[in-house]
Amino acid sequence: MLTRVLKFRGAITSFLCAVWLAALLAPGLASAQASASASAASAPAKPITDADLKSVAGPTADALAKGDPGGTLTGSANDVVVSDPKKGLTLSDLVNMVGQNRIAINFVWTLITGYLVMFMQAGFAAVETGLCRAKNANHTMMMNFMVYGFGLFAYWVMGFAIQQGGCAPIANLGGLSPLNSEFTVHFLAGKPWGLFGEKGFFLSGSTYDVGIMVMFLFQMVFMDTATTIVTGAAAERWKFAAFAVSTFFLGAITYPLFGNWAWGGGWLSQLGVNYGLGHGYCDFAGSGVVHAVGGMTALAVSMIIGPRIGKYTRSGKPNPMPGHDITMVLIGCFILAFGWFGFNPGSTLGASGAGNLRIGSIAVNTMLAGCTGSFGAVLYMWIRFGKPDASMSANGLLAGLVAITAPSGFVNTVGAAIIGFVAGLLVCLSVEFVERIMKVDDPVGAISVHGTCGLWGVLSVGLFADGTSNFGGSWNGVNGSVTGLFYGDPRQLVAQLIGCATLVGIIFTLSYLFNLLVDVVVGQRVSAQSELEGLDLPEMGALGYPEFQLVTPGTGRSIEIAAD
Amino acid sequence: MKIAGLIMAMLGWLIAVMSVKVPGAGGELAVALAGFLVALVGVVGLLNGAYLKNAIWKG
Repeated sequence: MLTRVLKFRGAITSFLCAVWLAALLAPGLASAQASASASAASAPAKPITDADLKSVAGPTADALAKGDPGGTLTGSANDVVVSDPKKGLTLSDLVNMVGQNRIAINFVWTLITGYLVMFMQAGFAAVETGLCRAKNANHTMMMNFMVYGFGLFAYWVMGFAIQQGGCAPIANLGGLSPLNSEFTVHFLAGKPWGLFGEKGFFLSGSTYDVGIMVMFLFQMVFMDTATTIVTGAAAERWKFAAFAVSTFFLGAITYPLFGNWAWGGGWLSQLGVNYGLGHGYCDFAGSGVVHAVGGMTALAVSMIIGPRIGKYTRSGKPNPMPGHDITMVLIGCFILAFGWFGFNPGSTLGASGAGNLRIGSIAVNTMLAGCTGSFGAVLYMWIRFGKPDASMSANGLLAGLVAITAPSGFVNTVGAAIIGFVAGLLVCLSVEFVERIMKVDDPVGAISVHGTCGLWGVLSVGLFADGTSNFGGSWNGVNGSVTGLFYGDPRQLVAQLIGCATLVGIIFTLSYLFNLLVDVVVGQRVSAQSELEGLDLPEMGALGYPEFQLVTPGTGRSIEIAAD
Repeated sequence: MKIAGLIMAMLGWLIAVMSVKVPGAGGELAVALAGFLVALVGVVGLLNGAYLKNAIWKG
């Protein structure tokens, strides 16, 4: 018994000794490890030299000749471009390759997202044509088709220079150094106000530059989106010649001017630097620059040309004029929603460096706002009219996407969902207001979707920007992240309000005056006879649906095409 | 009336821009908002109102 007690005591003593030793040694071991790692950290790093790179070898030609099904051999030191084959791989080659790879990633990203935005033209064409009557199908489709050519040409001649001629430096695309001349005046406390760019006309001279070409393509498809908004609002009664002239002006002057003020280093973007208003006017992907500019122009043109014959009774009551193909409308909406993944995430102008990995967040915000926008519109229509109206659901989706375009880079997912939902409700209210109160005829709801919700998107930056974005550490030359009213910066909202006032007060007025001039010189509206028969034959010379008999509801008038 | 609408729209812009001279964030916000609303009234109220007086559907 005594032996067992002694053995037990011995075991306890051994255990306690072990614990004591461990407690005694552990700090020493920990400090030894810490000092070891500290000495490693404090030791001067050995600089890599060209000599070190001599030992770096890629897979042999024999190994590569056998193929690389696992993908472990392809892409190695062999693929780094060397400036002098005699010297072999040098540190300079390596660093240059890293830099070029970053710019290459950003070029490819910006170009591919630009191609997606270009494809949105197809979506707009489908939506607008589907929402118009069959007798105007060719005319509406052709306006959407030719807007691409007219707008592009105007933008190449002068629009791009006015917008981006003084925008350098844009580090994501390699600097764009030749775009370095901005016409500036001094105004309000003697601060510089950039009004328009002066370099890049015809993309000639020093602007014949690889980075500038990427920038041009991306900005051009954005401009085309703005011009195609007007064709929807003015559809079914717009003279094709007037449309051509009006589109040229929008692509050459109106759009580029606001684009310069917001994105090209102009006065709106400098409200933060000059007057301490947050980060200046912030419009990440163009709720204001693209959509509200298009919406304001659409309103101006719609006012000037007046409503379609039969849209309003003598007492001013609106008559419904349903579109001819709701399937085309909804397919067009899906195309637009797909293209929006180019519109918003592509507006980082890069995927590598400078906080550009936020592209995932921007894409999710875009998706969410479109979803909640559609949901808001469906809910409104269902409660108010008893049915989940398809065309307004489509407009709700677009409204959410339009609204999230400006804040997509600055807000979190909760903010995006709220912004989209509000836009979905707002577009329904706005369509009713424009149709019933203003009595402005807008066959596709473009003024509400792009104008009203574009302005809402601009304002929402000043409310919901959560202060977590970091696009290279600053935005519009102001350090830190864009932060809205709900996250502590009320002055950002002031900048956004000035942007909205500019869109309504200056851009609308400019568009209105020019289109008034077009009305006087060219004439904006087709004849009453052409309008009643449909614009396909009188304006375009061919019907959109030649094998069908088209009857205009309510009038009993029909267009019959005899078989040859 | 149409000209008055356009002038009011531009006046709204000017008011909004002048908010940068107002001391305090609250004052700036109020003036900028007022400018935006004045511009809207110019376009939606005055200019559009002028068009409604001679709308083609009244004839």
